[in-house]
Amino acid sequence: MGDQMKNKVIKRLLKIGSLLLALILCVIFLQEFVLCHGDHNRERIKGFYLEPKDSVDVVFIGASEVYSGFSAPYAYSRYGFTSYPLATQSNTISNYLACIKEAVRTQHPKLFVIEINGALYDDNTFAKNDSTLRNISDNLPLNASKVELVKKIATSDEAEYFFPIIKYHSVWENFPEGMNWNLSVIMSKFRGYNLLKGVKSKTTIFKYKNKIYNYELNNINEKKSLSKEYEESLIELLEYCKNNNLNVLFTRFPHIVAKSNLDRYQKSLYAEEIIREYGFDYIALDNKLDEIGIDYNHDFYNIEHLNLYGQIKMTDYFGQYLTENYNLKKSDLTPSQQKEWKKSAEYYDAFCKSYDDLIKQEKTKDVGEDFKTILSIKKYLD
Amino acid sequence: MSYTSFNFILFVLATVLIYFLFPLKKYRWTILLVANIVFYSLAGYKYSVFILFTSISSYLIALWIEKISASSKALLKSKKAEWNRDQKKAYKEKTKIKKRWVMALALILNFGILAFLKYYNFFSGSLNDLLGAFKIDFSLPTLKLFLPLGISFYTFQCMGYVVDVYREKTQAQKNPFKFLMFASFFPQIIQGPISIYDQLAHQLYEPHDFDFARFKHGCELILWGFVKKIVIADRAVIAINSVTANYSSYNGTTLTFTILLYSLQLYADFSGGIDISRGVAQIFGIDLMENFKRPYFSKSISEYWRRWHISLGVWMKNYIFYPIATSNLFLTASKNIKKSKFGKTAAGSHIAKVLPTSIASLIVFLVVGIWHGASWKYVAFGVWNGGIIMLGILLQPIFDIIIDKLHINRENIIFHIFQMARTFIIVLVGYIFDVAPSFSQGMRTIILFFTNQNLKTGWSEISTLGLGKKEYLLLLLFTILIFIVSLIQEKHELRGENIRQILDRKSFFVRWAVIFIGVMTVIVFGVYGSGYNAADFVYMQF
Repeated sequence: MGDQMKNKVIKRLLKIGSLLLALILCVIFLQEFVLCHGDHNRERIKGFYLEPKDSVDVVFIGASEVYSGFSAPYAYSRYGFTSYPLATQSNTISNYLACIKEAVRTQHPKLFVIEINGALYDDNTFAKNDSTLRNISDNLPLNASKVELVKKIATSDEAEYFFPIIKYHSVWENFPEGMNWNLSVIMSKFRGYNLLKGVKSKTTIFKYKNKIYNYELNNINEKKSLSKEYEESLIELLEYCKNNNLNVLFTRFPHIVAKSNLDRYQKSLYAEEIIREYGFDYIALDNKLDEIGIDYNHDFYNIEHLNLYGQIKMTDYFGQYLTENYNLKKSDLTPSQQKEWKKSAEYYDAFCKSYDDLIKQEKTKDVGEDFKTILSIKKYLD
Repeated sequence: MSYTSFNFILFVLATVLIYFLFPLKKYRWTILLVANIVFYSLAGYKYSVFILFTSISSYLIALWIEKISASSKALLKSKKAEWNRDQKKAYKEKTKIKKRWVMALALILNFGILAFLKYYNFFSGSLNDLLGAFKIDFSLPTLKLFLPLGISFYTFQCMGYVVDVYREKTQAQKNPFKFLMFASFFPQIIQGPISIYDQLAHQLYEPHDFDFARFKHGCELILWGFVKKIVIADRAVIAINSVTANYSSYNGTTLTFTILLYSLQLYADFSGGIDISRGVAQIFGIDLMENFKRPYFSKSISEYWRRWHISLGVWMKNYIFYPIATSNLFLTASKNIKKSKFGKTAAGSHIAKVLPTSIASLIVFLVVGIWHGASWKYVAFGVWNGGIIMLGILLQPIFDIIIDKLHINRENIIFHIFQMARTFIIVLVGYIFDVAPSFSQGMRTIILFFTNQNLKTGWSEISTLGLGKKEYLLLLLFTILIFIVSLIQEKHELRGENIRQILDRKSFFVRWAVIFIGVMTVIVFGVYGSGYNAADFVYMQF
């Protein structure tokens, strides 16, 4: 091959290479920020990876109870420790281990708080639900724990879990509305952290008319076993925590315990027994509404979840419990990290102020970090 | 393996790499043969038996026919002085009959398999219905039959080859592996085009060097095929399937819309698939024949069939139309009309002249209809198309008179647009039988078209067919794109140019931008994957 020919071939290969590179970069950008299922789960999980290495003191693992029941920015402003809820809606305990492995990979938390509600569902509730599985798997970076998780949960072609664009490319049909959360993820990426640290709740006040069992739970001792799959997942999780000497507190966050979900409380007693057998701490909060200061007719937005008012009370109580029992001190953060956490606390405070106004107008709203909501509370920032 | 699957792309890339890196240039065709075998085997081993049978029987019978011809010629040569003219003629006739019988063996065996697998249940069902009507207590059983991958295409291709050898238009292939290569060429096995041995075979066996321009053009054609297939056709088919699943519950407006959508879907699907086939073949240095040439620009239904599925049309013309039109039966009938009193009139003379071609056209389209599927609705589809062509031929003088009387300029653009619109409507009527689940439903659609048009109800029905407004808008945009591309193709074809050659003259950035946008269009707007529905992610409690 002559020099001229060689140059031509090299030039051609460079051109093809640059086209392929441009295509790959474009696809990655679209997959990451545009053609994906954007919601609070994605914002929260992606936000976790934005936290500086070894800067999070407490990692919460669980389902929706965690991010609706505890506010990391508020806890920081009150007690000085940093925390983050690595949780997604209707997350099952089968996914918890992947979350812990990811947390350990990027942080060295002083404490893990594991909310066990994800182990109490029925056999078929959420276990094989594609959205439940994908809320976690889609948002993990490609690494060994993601591969392990996908192998375990994949209900369709595995390639779709590693290249989610195969599933989500058709979301363009939901635009521009569908960009609301995606824009928030993009902004967090550029900002370097997310503002609310994954908090999500509502201001809706739920009035429960039927009999509640929260005040007589101490008399209910009958346990119900967990589903086989969830019990195995719990044991696998406990083994991992034990073998890796993780400091873990297991808990069940406050719920309205009614006839319809009494069995979950009974399952939590069964789970508590297993957890204690492994030597881990467990605190049940369903029976501590008065102690926490929760009014079941004011502080829940539905039977399972605390609203913004309940969240503040719960954060006050649980934050204090953690500092007292787990020796959590003010986080040792760099000035810029402190600034970021203060900013988060300010935003959370702005939310609280904005909702005072809403209450006066007898309106309710979601507490969350989507693009529209963040814009709407800007005026409440000092 | 679907042509639009990721696995197919990987399969092609691997084959391209091995083919062009194979050091023994002369034997590069063996790489393609192995690729064909792998491709076919991946579809299922049981299918391979059928294609092997057709290939082997065609190969052997073609050799047999050639052997008969050769020995006959040798004998004639040796008896040149000995035999008189009549003896030679008689021997030639005897040889011809012998060859014909041998050829018939191939046709009966192979078309027999195709007919049995494709039409047995249709035939047995129809016969059972008929016997039932006469209260005869006999019924043929319904069998669980399967159709081997590409059986129509490879059978037609192989039988065309056998007939060509019989007609001494081509020489029989001596190498069985080379013949198998011709019968099973993977880019065309699923949906054609149906190639003619003389046009394709030598290209398959020639050692091709890697040619970047061909590679690029091939990739561009594949990309365009992907856009048509998975962005347009696979999207449109969602709405069409919704209608066909519950056909009788829709009003005339919705059914009319569905037929229009079907015309887009069918063209995008079929021509898109062929573009992929031709693009893949082009990378290997092989030019497959064009199968579509802007069929909806046709000014008559016969022109439409010269632009739509061209290779099938050519096959039908070569192996069915001509043998019928030039058969003794029709030629004699034509002569008899000509000699009769009626034949002396202008009308009679015209009929005598066009009778063989018009009846042959009707028969060809009857066959085309049945080829499309085993159902009475396809028979109706064939009769409709063939009938229109036959009437067109027979009534041409009357049309000419009307046009002259009205002083219509045949070259006027408005007249051309009228002709195109008229042809398109005739094509759409044919499509009704394609879309409708049965012949009776097809007839009902035609009635509803005239009696049950309601835009408001139609629109509300159309919005429930599985596609949102944005998707319909997308289809509309891509229809406009196809239309513009077709106009450019039509304009430049006269200069012997295609769009890819025009693109070559543009700057580097324009060229790569077109490819970049094409790829991104497929990725973003293509219909693939398990699908996403935002509602699946909504958990009411939280």
